[in-house]
Amino acid sequence: MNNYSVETRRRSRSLLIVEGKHEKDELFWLIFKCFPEINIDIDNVWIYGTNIYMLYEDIVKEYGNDWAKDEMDVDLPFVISKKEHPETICYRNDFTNIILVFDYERHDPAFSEKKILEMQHCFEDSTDMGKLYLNYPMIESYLHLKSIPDEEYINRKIPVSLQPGDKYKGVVKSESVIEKAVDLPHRIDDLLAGDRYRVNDVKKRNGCCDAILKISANELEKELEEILHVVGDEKKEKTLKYQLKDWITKIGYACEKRTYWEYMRKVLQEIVFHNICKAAKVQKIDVNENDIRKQFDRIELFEILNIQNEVSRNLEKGFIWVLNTCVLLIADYNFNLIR
Amino acid sequence: MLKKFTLKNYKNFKDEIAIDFENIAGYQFNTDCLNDGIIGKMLIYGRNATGKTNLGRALLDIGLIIFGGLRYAGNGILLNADSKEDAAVFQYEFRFEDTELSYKYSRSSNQELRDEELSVNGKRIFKCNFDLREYNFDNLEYIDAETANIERYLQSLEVGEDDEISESKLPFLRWMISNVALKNDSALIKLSNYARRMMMITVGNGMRYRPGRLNQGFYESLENPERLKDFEDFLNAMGIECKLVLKKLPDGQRELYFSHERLVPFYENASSGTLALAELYRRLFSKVGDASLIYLDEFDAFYHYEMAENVICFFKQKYPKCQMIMTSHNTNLITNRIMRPDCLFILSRKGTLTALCNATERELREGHNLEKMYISGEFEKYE
Repeated sequence: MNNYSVETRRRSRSLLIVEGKHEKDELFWLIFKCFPEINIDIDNVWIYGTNIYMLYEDIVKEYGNDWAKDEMDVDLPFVISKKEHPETICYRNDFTNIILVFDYERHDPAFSEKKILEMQHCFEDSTDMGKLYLNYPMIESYLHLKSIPDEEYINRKIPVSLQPGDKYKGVVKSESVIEKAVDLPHRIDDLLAGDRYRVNDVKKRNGCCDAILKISANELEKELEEILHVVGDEKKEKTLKYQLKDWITKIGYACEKRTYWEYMRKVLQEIVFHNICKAAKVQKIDVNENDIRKQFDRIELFEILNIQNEVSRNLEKGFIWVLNTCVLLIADYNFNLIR
Repeated sequence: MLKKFTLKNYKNFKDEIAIDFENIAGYQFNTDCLNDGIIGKMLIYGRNATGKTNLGRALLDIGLIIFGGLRYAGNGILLNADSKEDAAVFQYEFRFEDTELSYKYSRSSNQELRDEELSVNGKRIFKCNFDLREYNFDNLEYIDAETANIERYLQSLEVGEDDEISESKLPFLRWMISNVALKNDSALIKLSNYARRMMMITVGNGMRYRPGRLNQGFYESLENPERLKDFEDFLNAMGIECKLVLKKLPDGQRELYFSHERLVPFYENASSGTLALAELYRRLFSKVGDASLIYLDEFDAFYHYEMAENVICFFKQKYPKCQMIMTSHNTNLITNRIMRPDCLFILSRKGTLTALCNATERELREGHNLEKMYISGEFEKYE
């Protein structure tokens, strides 16, 4: 430490403002793992849990009721840090990404078309004030593909009357072809940590999971055997091996000489692709459907919200287009990532 | 025009650093930053002491080769202080209409020329290694310079060695340009024309302290009322509202004043920003003919942010063909309103020069707030 040193600013951070904890972290964790180009280190991500209306109120508290109308330059890291830990205030200028992800949640008692539209209008650039991605009806919609490709996805909608959220989650769980693949890392971790195998050392277990997910060769069994020595019980290792082999074979990536991450990257690219086409359809974008880039460039999340508000206004007959916009952040970052 | 400049082992640049004017991205906005498919207006940012001034000096070095002149004693040590190599290497790649021309040379620690090599359209025209006394003039006829009296040139090298005052290593390029009857459309003539019109402007380096007589030339030109009006218009357009008068004093000297109820002498009283702007004007208009390339070091050091923007817009309008490289610390100019991500560069502590669009994996779009991204560390790895 030099006598003249001043405290240096910590920059290049990312702020993720999400509603729940688990699933969102899961999806983003997966995205950042599969797309290292995005250059977001999960350890450098500040996750703030709230809901969109609470966040709205926080903004009002700092900037007044007319913040949206007056196009105020909202500094979310400031607003949040002031509330969370006033002793260390953060500023927008220290963050390279500010991403807000919320569920549409029409049935939320606090639901307000006006507020949610204002939010969608103002938060449109993740590198600047922040970008709001709304998921219709909820985050789980990214799993809602029944096959890959799924030609039906483009028409998929759910009745407004399908609530609460758990009901939709149930639908996705029963219909999704990718849920199992997305969940694999967590299933492996749970299995190893569970009563049967008791790999309790977190570092060891993480290393083991990492190694398993990196397997890409045909000799799945042999490689698994080597990795599973950590369990330290030959008999258990054997059953574990067959269990894992079964899981991996069912998803089917290793025989294609791909690692789990390479495989999931492709899956995520498909998900983004499906949702771009879907957004274009909802928004009635009139361009050649093969020109995915043109479709993407014309997507207006504000427009989409307007349309969703309209079609879902009738609580009995209304519907919501199934659409996950938060996966679009991959294409927003660099469209080449999904090519 | 200059397509690419490459430098190695010069001052703080131990490894190779290049200014590649051809490396553009396909942005459809602010195309006036480009000229004929290459970068025309370039803005370089970088922390202090990353070598922004050094880079400009190095870029103008070719002028000393072609036209000679004082070797700058006051410029400190030439070679990188950590390098094991014993020469600094300069390479310039030009395009003049259909002709591609590449000139490469190196200087030893005492600034002496060590070798030089010229290629035209990929063909090597000549190569001289003064250390080893190896000379190759095989393809002079390719540029219609076969009449060059090589023996005379080699003789001149021998003479120079006894005479400590003259420059002993006369560059063959310079010798050829001044001694061979070249056609008017010769690539060498174009090269020499280009190099003559390269300039570096370091703004705000104490014009106030220039002895009055040094300004006399400038004042003389302002005696023409149109020129005075033009100067006044320039200051006004850039954001300095003033009215000027020029007076001839009884001793024949001229003096420039701000016109008020009482006259206020210009140089003694002008603000730093006004002086910097006046100096810029003086330099731009003192040159005969339009400049080919201008390196403006810290060009807006004394400017209000709006004036800095005005000056860039003025450059774009007035000098669309001139290759201008500006260095600045004013982040307000890192914007897609007047610039573009492939014309904004960061010079790093490591000695690399990277355009913003190549300094992140993110696809930079017109709507991005580049200044905010720069400040928040988006391009951190290249700073």
